[in-house]
Amino acid sequence: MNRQFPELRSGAAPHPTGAVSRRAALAGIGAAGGIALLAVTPLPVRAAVAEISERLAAILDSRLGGRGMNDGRVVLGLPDRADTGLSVPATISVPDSPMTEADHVRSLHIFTELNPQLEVADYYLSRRSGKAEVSTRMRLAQTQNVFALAILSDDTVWATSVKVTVTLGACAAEIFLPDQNEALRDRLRARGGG
Amino acid sequence: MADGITRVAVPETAAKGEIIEIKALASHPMDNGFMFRDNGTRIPRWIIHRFEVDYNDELIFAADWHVAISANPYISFHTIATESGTINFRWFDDNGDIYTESAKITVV
Repeated sequence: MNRQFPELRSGAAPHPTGAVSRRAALAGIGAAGGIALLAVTPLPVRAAVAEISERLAAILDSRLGGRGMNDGRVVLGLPDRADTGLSVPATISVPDSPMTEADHVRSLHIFTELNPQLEVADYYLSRRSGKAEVSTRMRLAQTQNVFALAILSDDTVWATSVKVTVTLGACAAEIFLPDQNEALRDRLRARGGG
Repeated sequence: MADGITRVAVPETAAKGEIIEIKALASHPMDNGFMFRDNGTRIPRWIIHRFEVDYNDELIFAADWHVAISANPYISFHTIATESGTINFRWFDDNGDIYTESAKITVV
């Protein structure tokens, strides 16, 4: 299954299983992208971040289509410690990007090393973004490294990682804390969409 | 939106060419599919997997979200205030629901 990184484009059709619809939307992009990327192959994936796990390396190998990564430029802002992994604020940015037509950040990506699913988020930017900085809140199952990637308009890939110590992981926290989302689920279902 | 599921923060006015920060929040359980109810049944995966933003009908920002995004997903990002108009937000969830929100901006 080809799941490389597309550019900013509309295309996620509503679908009962989001992952499938996204992949369907990406079909075809990978083939075109793969050819374009052969020209830029500086480093093997593992060279950028030494402690990258096998699981994550496999995902990055597949999604980067063989492209290498460089260390730096992308900055990942995360707390050193989190009391629970339920909602950890994260900011991903490329502070030195001029964000011009000729030189901008095309996409930003967050991965974890040890969550049940390693992908966290993919953000697609453009020359109209002005500033390459996105903030979000993420789940961490346990103490681990979080990885960030930036793909620039010149097709180079930049990477960094940050270790976050988690006192109570997201999965454990959700077991110990009562589920407070049932009312919200009912409310969303009552909208009658889908 | 009237149903209160989504909220956005967009500056009402901005100077032409100014970089503005936009914030968006949706009320959603973002069920990751790994959790069980007290009675042992699994809570099925149900997340918002895609977020898109149009500025006067041109796509300016998009996100693919996975199960590690927290419940009630929050996001902030930036864009250049190019002209007065409408910024439209769309959240797509696994059940096929689309939540929408829009905000007006005046560029002077």
